[in-house]
Amino acid sequence: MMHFALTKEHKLFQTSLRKYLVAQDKTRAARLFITGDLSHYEKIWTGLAELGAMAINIPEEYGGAGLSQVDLIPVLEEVGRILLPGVYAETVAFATPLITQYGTAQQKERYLPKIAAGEAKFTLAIAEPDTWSFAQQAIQLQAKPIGDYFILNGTKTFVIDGDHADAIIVAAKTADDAVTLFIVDKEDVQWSTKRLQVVDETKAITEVHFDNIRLSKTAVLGEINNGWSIYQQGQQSLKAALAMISVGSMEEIVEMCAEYAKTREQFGHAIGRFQAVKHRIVEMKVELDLAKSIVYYANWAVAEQPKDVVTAVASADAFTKNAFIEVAGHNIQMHGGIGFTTEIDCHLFLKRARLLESYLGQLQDSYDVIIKAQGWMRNDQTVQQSEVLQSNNT
Amino acid sequence: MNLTYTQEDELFRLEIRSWLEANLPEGWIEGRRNLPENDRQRKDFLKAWQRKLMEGGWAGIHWPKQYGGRGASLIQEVIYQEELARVKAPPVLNFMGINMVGPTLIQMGTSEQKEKYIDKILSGEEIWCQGFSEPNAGSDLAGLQTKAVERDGKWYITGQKVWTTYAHMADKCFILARTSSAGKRHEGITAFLIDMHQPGVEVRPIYQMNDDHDFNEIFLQDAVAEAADVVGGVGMGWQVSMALLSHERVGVAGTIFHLENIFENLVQDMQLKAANRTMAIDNPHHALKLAQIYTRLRAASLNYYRNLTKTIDQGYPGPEGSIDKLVSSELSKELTNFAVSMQGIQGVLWKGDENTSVDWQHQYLQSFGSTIAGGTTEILKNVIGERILGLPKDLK
Repeated sequence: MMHFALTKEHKLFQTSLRKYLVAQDKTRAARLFITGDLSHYEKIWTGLAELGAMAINIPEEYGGAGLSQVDLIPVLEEVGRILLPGVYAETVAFATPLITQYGTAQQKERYLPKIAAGEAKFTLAIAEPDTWSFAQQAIQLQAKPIGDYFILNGTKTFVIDGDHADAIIVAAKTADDAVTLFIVDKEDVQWSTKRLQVVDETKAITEVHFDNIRLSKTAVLGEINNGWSIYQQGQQSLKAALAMISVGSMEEIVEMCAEYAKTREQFGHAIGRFQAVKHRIVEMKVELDLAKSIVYYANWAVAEQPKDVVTAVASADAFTKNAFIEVAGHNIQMHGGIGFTTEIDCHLFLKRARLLESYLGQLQDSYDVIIKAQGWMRNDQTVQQSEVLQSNNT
Repeated sequence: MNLTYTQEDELFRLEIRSWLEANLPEGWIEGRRNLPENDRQRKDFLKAWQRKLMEGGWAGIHWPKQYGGRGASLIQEVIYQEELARVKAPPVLNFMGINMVGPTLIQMGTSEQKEKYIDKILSGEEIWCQGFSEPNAGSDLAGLQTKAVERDGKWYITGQKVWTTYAHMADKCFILARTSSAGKRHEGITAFLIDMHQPGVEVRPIYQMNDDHDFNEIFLQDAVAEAADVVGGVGMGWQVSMALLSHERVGVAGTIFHLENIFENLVQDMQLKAANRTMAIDNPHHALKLAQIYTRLRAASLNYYRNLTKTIDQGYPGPEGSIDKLVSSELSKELTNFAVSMQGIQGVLWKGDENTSVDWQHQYLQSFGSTIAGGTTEILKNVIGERILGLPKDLK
């Protein structure tokens, strides 16, 4: 029966998550992160794990609830509302599904229970300093096979939490036109990091340098030389998750903005009474609702894999990245002077929106995916090379 | 979260789909979809289609079975809209009667009114129009001034109505008139059922920028309404009209499906060749615009279904329908605007000289009406702001 909404159980779970995060003072974790104090972020990570938020899509035999991407939605929306720093999405919507589907029994036993218990943070390392690109062609870092090992020597950039993740899933070149994914675990090897200065100071964005580290073959995730198609699967669920987090952020923005418009008075009236303000907030609400719908569908599609899953995720990605920036910008405007300061949260949402805009690929890349999947521009090389899963997906 | 239809609903879809394939005029599905230009012939054509729908059991499907309907569920009504859009079926001439007047009379009409009017609504024997807006009462409907005075047991109505769809083809009118000027403006309004073929009623077509004249002005000079044809009671007109409008359950389903439909036509038309010119579909600027429209249309469609779920869950449509109306009407402007633009200079041709599978120029012009009729964009933004976001009402 057609029921395009969260279930009662989802909503109950979401209510308890919200209650917990409100008690943690919402964006306090993000604000402290800016000052270098990660303790509140760590506390929330543990708290979320205790509420079951890390175990949702982990199979039951590894300590999880055995549920799917759709069941992540309540958590994704709530962590988006508070601009949670760190790698929640990378861990539950990239590492978990890939290790579950492609991991060896050893990898599953080693990592899945730890993730479920909130004891493992995962991140990914794709882009490199020469090109700053998330495309396959840009990957030059090699993993050289030597006997039973691979030697990794080089640098990745834009690695979120590279300096305190427990493991990094690294994409490295292992043949001329082929990439392999490696789980690089800090229990086995060391790496050095350089923290980059980014506008969004609520996320740790790092350059990660591997100095001739030795990776055992057991660190390979999935098949050697087949890493890119595996990466694309992971990217699909990660993009859908990130879009859902952004929708949560947009939800918080619209509420904050409407609340301000009802309480801030000028000329003897709440400013929300004036149509210019009222209508602008309505426009924000409209973009929020549209984003929510297209992103719910994308997450449902990741779980159910209908024929249009590739387009579903690409369109959700493009729509939301754009809408988040727009809505965050209008929010500042509606708050007037105080919106321009660091005293309130408006600027944090805008900066997060910009960070996410080109993460894992630019807007144009998502549009190229749609164009290719729909069969338009058949004669154009750039589009035809754009990365879309080679399957019977449309 | 479930986005599939039940088997029962899929069978329903097959049923309406095959009936349409068997009963649409010859050549319609293949593309020969011109309605007669002449008013008389157009009316006959549409009335005949209306009758066919009724005979096939496909008119007023949401009406209770005892009144000739199927008692269709909301999902089935949506599927019905989808299938009609899919074949670009001819418009339902008596949509006012079937979607608004009929259900209102079923809900609150007297038994005399039900007996007199209901059957002829479904068959299309009597076509209905809606007399609400006036030249000085559009968005501000409560300001209407058409007067109704009682004399010797009958009502005499004098005034002017505007934007009355199909008035030139209608037999009856559901009309709002002012019966009292005491108290608040909307308290002195009464709803009447009147005959359009009487001396006191004159219809004049309004010539629209899209070359249609479906809208009309109605001039009333002592037009007669029987006492038995007051709906809901004297002075209850505002509440009755709210109830009438609330019977529109499927909202903008038709618009959304139509947009999805013509989007396919747009892709098709972008593959028309021209000497020394890349096909529009291979032009990167055009392809990008197409992808952006596609994305927004997907979002609008999915949002419609998400709101539909809410309507089904709570049993009545909520104010979110205003968001769907706002989005779909603005999107129709964006889509048709682009469709005209991508044709290059051929985008100025129409009335058969255009070289496309859909009359884009006509649809583009029509889109300017869609953001005004049935709630302007500006009014909708106020409704959304006040009813959904709880923002304060305008300064008065």
